Amino acid sequence: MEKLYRLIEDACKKLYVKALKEVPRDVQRALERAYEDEESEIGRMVLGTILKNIEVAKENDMIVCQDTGTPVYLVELSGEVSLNLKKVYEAVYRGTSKATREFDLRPNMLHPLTRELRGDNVGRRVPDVHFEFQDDAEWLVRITCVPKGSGSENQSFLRMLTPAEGVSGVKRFILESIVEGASKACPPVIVGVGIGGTFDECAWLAKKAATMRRIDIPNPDESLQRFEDELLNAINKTGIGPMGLGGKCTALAVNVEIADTHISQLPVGINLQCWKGQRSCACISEEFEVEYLA
Amino acid sequence: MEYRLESPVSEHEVRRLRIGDVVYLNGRIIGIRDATQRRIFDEGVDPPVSLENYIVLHTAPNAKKEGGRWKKICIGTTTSTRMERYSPLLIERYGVRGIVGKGGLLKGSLDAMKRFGAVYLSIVGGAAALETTQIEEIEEVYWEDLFPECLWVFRVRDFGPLIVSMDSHGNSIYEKVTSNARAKLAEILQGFA
Repeated sequence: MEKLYRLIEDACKKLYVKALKEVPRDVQRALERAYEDEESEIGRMVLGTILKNIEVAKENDMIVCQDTGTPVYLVELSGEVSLNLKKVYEAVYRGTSKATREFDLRPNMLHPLTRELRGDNVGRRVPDVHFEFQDDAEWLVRITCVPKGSGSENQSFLRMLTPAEGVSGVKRFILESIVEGASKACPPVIVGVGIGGTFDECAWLAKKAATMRRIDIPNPDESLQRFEDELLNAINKTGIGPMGLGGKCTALAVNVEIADTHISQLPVGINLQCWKGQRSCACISEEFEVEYLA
Repeated sequence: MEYRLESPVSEHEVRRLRIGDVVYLNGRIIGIRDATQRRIFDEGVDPPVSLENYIVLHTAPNAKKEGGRWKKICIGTTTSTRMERYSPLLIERYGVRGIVGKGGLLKGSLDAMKRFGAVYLSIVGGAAALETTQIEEIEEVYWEDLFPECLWVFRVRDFGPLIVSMDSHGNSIYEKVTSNARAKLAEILQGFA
């Protein structure tokens, strides 16, 4: 088992850097499509520059965007593995710190009030590590890393709606938030929406929806898929466009996650992810082999 | 229209620019960010170099000091709107002619741009790898204690494309796009009801 903690540490270090240097394949395809479809001249120039930038980063082995983000990890455990979660957390922590130091990543994380910088992107309650569990998984452990950029994170919204406001209130809140925040979040954005749960749960679901889900796979829940399509269509009619300079493509995708909630509540969280859609993912098999996903 | 400008620039050159124009910069530009401007405006410390007629960039680079020289790793641009509070003063008091950023600035800055002759230039946010290749060198770094939010002097070549999104004639693409989006939103919501 000690070997597994080392593998996790090593994977977290690699995943942090990989997420910064590469754009996930599904996001790349969506950007290429957006470039084809965009009608605004400035919008096309912006999307063309985005695609060129991804190439330049690849050719020069550079990170795509300067913002090395807040390190967020999702560690999923299958039913077949018993691990000490404190040791897993420590492994993620060490992996993040090592990646920052060895690759000279910009240190972002600091004390919120004194603004004192620690230097290696770990610290008090950082990295942000979430644990979830999955039955019938083909792996023992799956790790997703998202260095969450601050331009998009600053455009986050949460409201405790009333049940009386209902579905139409949820849609209104999402669209108003987009009009308020999307232009500052490096659009075209991926819109993550968490509906239900509690104050904190809907925020986490929104983050997970915006940053950790592939955007080329339909939502397995058909009614949610229709909801996502309707919202994406509406958002792309606002004309905010690439980098908020006007155009057709404001969002690449809308992802919705839900949780059951209290009879008197309707919490809605909205988290945006910038065009880069940075995330990386690795699975550790029963044979302790690590596979990195594209 | 497409322009190639050499920073520092004159008021005359800046006044020619209109929203929708595209600019590529050469010469020296100055990197600043939140902490840099907290020092200038909240702590009242004048910048260690003159900013007059310069173009500034909202940035906090990935960079490394090696043998006394600062080496670029990845230099990109941050959201400007957070720094709205400082921007009119930057233009009025220190004579800045242009601000390169993303996300735009607000009414106070637009008014100062009109009065004193300055523009806001939108870069493609997140396109930092490309931006880094257009920065030839980090020439000087002041206030290293604020790293990565120091005051940086960069020498740039063909730095862009930058879109003139707020000009010195009171026009803002962001204002237009947002007011159109608000009108469209009302329509969409009616369609939902």
